[in-house]
Amino acid sequence: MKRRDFLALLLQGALLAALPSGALAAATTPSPLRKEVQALAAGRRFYRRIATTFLSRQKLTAEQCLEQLQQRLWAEAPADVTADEVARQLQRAVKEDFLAGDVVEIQGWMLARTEVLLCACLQLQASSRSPLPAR
Amino acid sequence: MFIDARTTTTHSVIETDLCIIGSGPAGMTIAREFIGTSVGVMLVESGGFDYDTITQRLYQGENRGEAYDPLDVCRLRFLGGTSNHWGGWTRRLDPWDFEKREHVPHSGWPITEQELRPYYEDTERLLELGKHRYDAAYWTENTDSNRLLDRDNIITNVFRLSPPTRFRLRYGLDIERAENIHALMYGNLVDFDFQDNKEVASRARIATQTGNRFSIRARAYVLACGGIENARLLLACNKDHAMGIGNQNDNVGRYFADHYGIWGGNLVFSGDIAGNEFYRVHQPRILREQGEALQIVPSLGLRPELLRSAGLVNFTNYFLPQAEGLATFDDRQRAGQAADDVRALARLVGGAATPAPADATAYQVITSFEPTPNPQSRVLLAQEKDELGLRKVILDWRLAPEDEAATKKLNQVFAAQFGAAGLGRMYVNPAQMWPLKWKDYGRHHMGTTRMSATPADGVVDRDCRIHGLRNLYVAGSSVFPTYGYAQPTYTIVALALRLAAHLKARLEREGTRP
Repeated sequence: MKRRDFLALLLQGALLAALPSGALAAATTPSPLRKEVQALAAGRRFYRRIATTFLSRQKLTAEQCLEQLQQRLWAEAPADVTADEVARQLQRAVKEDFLAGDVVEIQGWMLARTEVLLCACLQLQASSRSPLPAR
Repeated sequence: MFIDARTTTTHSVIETDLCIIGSGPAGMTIAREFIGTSVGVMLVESGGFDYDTITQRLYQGENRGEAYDPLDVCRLRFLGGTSNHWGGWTRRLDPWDFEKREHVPHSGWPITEQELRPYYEDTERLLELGKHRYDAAYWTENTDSNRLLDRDNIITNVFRLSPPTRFRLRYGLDIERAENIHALMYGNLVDFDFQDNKEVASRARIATQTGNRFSIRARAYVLACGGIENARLLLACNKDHAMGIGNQNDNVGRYFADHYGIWGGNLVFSGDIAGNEFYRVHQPRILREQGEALQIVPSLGLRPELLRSAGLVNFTNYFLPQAEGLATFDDRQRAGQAADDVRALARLVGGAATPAPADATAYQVITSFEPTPNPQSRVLLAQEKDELGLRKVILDWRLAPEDEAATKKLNQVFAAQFGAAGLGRMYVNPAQMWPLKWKDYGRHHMGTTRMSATPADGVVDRDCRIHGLRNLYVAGSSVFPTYGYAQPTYTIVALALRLAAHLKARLEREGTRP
């Protein structure tokens, strides 16, 4: 499975609410992807820790968090978006964060603000409905 | 040829052209350059041909500052000097190490790196480094592990390991065979006499531990006894210069520095470069094929433009797999465990961190950086005298106050650039870096007779001649005014070759002694 597909899958749950209606297909997990998704789920505890640490410092609602993340990916949300484009924009935003020194320290790890926001978005989304299958 | 100073008649005077005190990499390099010339050289060595405790005890002294090795352990006092326990790491100073930088107090050499370049080829021959290069691209073309990570602001800094060269074993025979070079063994400098104007050294007074006392009259003298002893001798030989030779501006013995490595953090490489073997001590293919028992150590640093704009000191980062740590901190252990979490993060964000293999390793980062020159870090004299009547040495090594901020800042910047380059993520905890719970030092004794454009700022001029004196020179890393992060032996030898060229020109120009 290609990374960009992976990312698209991941982001569907997080970004769905922030994007224009119909921009992304509804989140489904086709059976061939189950293994990868389960691997991803293994890291969920850490995403939660990043999110929890970050959100304890900065109070954000799910909507605010998604809005901040979206603004980092697109100045203006496109009408249509592909998984490929999501991956590209994430890479760009992460790199720009690091170059601009927009770094968030989470338990010693120096992380780009965009990736921390992404974790926070997933966590906040999970608090309403789980975007990832339970193990 | 070799002469035993203990057989020299007391009160005798030995005449020569050039008198070199100390037979380590600096002193022996200079002496060798005169083989086959018309210049007579007397190379004075305190010890014999091997380690002995009787001579070695002359190196005893007091450590008053940072915790350090006993001073008679971190130096060796016999033919070949400290090359006898040299680890063999070599690297040139970077060109920007020679520049005056506003964010590094007291930085800058009065010469440029370009002025040393003509001596690099011979330096590498003397240090038995083979005909190779330091640039990383060269090595990735000639190794099995083509994993160069130079991206964006990240650059690879390569160290080359000498066999290492033991000057005593490798070049001792050259000295023995040379008709115009005399190595005076078991002789110790105990003072200099000066002419009335006090600008010209007229004789070096030599003593042995067996009680012989005599002198050497030469046209020029070179002090090449190492970064602690050079300063000690200049301060202690004060018969004609009450404050110490070259110490009219109170600079002799100041700015003592050593390189120290610190735990800079932990990191996880992105999936596509995890398990990278290039950034380990290894023997590239070309060296194996050529039958050269040499190795290289690539490391990562930042582009000089960024060092400048971010106000950072020069540094480089080595990597050790977590399991090979040299020391243990609870937090380091936790950081290692957290590496699993970072790999999870790597799966989440593409590009900057591609999916990592399950066996990807967390690495410890060992940061080696240039210490800031500190005038309060000093070689001093004790009241107590050694058996030759010279005051013993006190080392008061102090890290510059600026070093704390420098070490905390540099890996935060590196971590961001490492992430931006898509190489992975780094764990940095400045709060744990200082005060230094763990450091290792290089036993590189530098800075105590620093080179400067004017007497106010240092001890020797751009020719390594003591300011205000006409014929007394200093060789070795004590002349380094700024230290870089590279081990000093390479630059010591290059500077020695440069000084030898200067002395050759001068002595030949002035003609032989009557």
